[in-house]
Amino acid sequence: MMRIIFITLFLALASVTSAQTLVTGVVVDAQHEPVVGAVVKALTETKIKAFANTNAEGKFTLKIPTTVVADSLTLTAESVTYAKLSMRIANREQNVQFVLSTAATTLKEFTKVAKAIEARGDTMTYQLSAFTSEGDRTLEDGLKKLPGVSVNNDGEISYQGRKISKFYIEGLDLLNGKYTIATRSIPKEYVSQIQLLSHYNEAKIDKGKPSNDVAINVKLSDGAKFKPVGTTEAALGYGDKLLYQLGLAGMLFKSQFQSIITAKAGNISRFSGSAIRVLTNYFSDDSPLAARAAGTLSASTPPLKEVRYLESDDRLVSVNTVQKIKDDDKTLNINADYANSVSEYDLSQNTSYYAGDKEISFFEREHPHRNTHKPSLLLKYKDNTNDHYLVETFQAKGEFVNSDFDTETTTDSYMQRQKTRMFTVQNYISSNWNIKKAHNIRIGSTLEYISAPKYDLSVVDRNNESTVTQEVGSNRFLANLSGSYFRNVGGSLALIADVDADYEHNTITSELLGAEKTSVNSYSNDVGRIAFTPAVQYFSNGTSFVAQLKPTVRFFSAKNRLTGDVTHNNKFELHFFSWFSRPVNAYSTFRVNINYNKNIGDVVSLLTSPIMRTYRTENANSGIISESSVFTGLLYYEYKHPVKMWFANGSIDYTHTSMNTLSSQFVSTDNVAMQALVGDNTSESLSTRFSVTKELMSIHSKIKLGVNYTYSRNTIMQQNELVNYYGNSYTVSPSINMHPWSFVELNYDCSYSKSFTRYIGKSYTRDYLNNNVSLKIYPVKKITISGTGEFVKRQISDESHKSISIFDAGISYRLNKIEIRADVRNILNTRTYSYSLFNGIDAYTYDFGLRGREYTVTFVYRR
Amino acid sequence: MKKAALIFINTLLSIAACAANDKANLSGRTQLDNGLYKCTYTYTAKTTVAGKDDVVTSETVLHIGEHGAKFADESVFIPDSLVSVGAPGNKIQMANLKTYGQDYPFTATVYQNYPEGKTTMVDVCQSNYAVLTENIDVFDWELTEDTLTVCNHLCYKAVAKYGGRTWEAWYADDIPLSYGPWKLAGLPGLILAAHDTDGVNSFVINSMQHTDVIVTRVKNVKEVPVNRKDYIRLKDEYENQKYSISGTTELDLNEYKSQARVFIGGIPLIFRSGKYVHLELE
Repeated sequence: MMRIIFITLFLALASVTSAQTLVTGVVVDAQHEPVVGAVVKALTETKIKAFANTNAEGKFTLKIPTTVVADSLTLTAESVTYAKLSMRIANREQNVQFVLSTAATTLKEFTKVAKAIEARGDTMTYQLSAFTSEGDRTLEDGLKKLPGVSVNNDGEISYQGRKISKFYIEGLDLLNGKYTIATRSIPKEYVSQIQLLSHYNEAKIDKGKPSNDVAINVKLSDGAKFKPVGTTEAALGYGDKLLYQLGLAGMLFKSQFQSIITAKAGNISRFSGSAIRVLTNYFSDDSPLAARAAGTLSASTPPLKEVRYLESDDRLVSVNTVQKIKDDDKTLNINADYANSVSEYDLSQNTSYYAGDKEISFFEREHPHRNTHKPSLLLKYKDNTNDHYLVETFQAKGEFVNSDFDTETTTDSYMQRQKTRMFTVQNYISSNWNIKKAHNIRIGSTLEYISAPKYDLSVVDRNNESTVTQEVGSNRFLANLSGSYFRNVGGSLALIADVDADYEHNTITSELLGAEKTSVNSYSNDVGRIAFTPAVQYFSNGTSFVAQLKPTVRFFSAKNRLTGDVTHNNKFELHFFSWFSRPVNAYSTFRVNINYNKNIGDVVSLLTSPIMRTYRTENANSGIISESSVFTGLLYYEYKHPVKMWFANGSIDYTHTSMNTLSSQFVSTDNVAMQALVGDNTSESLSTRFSVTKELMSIHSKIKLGVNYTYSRNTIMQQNELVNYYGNSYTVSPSINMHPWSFVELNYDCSYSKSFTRYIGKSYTRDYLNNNVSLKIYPVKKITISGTGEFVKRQISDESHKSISIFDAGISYRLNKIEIRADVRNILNTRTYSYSLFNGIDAYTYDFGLRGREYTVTFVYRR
Repeated sequence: MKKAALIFINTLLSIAACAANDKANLSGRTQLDNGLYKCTYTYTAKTTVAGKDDVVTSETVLHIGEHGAKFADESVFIPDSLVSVGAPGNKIQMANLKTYGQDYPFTATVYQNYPEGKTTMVDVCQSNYAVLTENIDVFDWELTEDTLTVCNHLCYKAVAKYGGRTWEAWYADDIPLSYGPWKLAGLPGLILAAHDTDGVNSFVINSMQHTDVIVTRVKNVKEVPVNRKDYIRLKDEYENQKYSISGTTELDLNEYKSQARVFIGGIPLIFRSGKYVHLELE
């Protein structure tokens, strides 16, 4: 009995396990050859109930579960080279045949669209096209859209609040810091990716060593490589005068050679200054002593775009090439520029000085006119391998400026004319090589000659028909020799010993001509410095620590060439520099910097005879060498989450300075005398900054919020009275770029700031609100209609505010390589702009004349 | 007579073609198939780098032929390309020597449906190349209704247990190719993405392109057939004990990548930026 039950159960189980309907068959082509690897599916409606692949004979077996109760099934046979075939069959065991015909189209190829942002190690890669819109034209327009990246009005790029130290195109440093030539010339279509490189060291030999530098590398699209490309631009317009602009930018980007040649002329907006500005430099401060002694004749710069108030006429020729030599490690750069800029504008200003129990005010109406010529040449050879790094840089440049300030006061009329002539020749060579794996040696040398034979100011008093001329000139020669030994002492710890020796020879003279009193300074000066700098570096798993102590012995002698007196001032300087950086987690890092510098002043401190700086100001120094001790502390935090597209950074920066000289200002009704007096004093400042950016890719929007707060305390001797003055200010600046639909894009940024000044029981407050709105509409592809509005509200006195609104509009049409654009600026023809500010305890109120309504038509051809 | 002459010429041409084919420099390889498609996948593994949890990636290629497919590190595809264009043997040899240069190389080569119905995996192991052969239908896929769009292709999810892990694969219904990354195959469409439910290993397709590059198999002299248990043991010994150098710095890896591979007893020395993670546990 048990045997019967067991057999019955076994048969029942067997029937369950084989509860499938078998559909067999063959798939052949039109020639009845078997189709191998075809996918055969059995479906009810759209659901797959069984599937199989054909074997080498084209045969298949489909096992349809008995749970499929449908009366009929759809059978499909598919193969990549054949057209899909379907047939309807009854849901029962059977044998079928598919005869497939060759497919009319083959399977389409595809490539995954790269992630908009991808982080790998210290490199953040942005796909530029994921962030740009139809209305963007240049690489700079694209960079502004990237979360974590910001570009200021001068074209300077920052990443997470830090300015970039290097700008590369396809890994080559073509422009040596003058990268706005590229960012404002290269069309966005030429660029595929932007790479931001954190903890960057230029020398491959230094790879892995601690660094806080950020570099940018532009990856070009295939269409922009290997063949000449470029942009031709011509614009014509009318406003207060005839407007024009002509531009030509030719580029070639090959693996062994890169070049950008730009020629541009026009009077619509100023471009030459920012185009040749070197934003990264090997050389120390190269401003001549004469510039610091005489000052530069200047007027205030309003918080407006230059094109709003400045009439300009610029010319620029820039030739930039880089060639790889022999192998990929050696490069030779040639960068040559000539820039000429003529600018002028109108303003009136009221300056109010604290003068004890009263205030003394000066009213002036000015028309500054400046003509600047800047030629420069830079040659650079670099050999950068994993074992050694050699760089040789030669630079020669000049700056020739004529500034004419037509000035009228309530009673008088002056022409202030400053002529400056400056020449600089510099050479820098540095070599760095590994002796063994853990030992590294560097030697370097710098030679500089900086001459300012003329830094003269002449003031013509039209009422008295008299002329007073202040002549100032200086020369400086500097030679520096440095050496460094680096030793990795195991693990992540390294010890470094630097030795620096430098010598400089200076001469400076000043003489006031045509004045009632004589005022002459003439000094020659020799300075020698020897510094030994031991340092320690630690770097492991993203944690970095660097500390260095730089004791310096300084020998100083200055000879007064008028009296023959010699001043000696041999001193001991001390500098301490340290920073510590540590990742908090995968997304955030904090850094602490602590620095201490004890600085000794230069020969300018000995110029005790007053030097005229404007028709009503003069400056004299104390006659003793100034000394200052500066302590700075910085706490920096950054957060980067590329997947969620959150970028944030913040910092707190504190500086405390102790000095042995005190600034003094004495104001009379016709003159402001500035002087440095002997007297110990201190100042301090605190600056906090926070910025957060969120990219919403689903609606193509970038939202940013920035908050700044600053505090400062300073001391000045005003009208022979010691005055402590305090400043506080905060700024809140939200901005948003929205491109939710393909036909519309909105930009809005706002900045609200409020500043407070107080001294001797007095306190003043000023606030400022600036709104910028830009709307772009793309009704059909290739056409862009744009409108921008700038709304500014500024407090100009305790009781009153002044508001202005400026509107622009434009339309452009793009047809392949050609673009035609028509713009109208300042539609409402707003002609004045007023604002006021504090500088220490002095208050300034300005009225600027604005450029009127202007119409331009621009033609652009991109190849 | 004319007909005879044509037959003679045709015969001569055929002989010449065959001779040329024989002379084709396969550089120690056997041609398995004509190539149809090249699919690139990014392989991602959750591992530890320098003692810290991290994610490593490497680029891989699924080389699809008329009868099967071959899946391997992207560097393995380069010698196949050179063979196809008749490159000189020394160039092919140099390409061979430069394989596995990625930060976290995928060292196994998986032949899907070569031979028919089988999956053959050849992997760098202790002192030899381990060869593990299994049935291609070893994955018992459960098809689901869940969908996901990958590279503009609507994909359906299928789930299967294999080697101690549960795999979720997303196959494209409109690409009738039953192959995929690693050993993941046997679905009614090409697998465009797959991951294990532990979140340790994943494959995501980057591109699919036509190719004329032939599918080849290297004739390794040191191949040893193994079962799955032995393979896991040998692989573990190779990667985590003797030959592999895990946790090397980026600097070391760059130096390593710029040079030809180091071979010990015919087996390449593998550098990894992170600790090796097994795709199959048992």
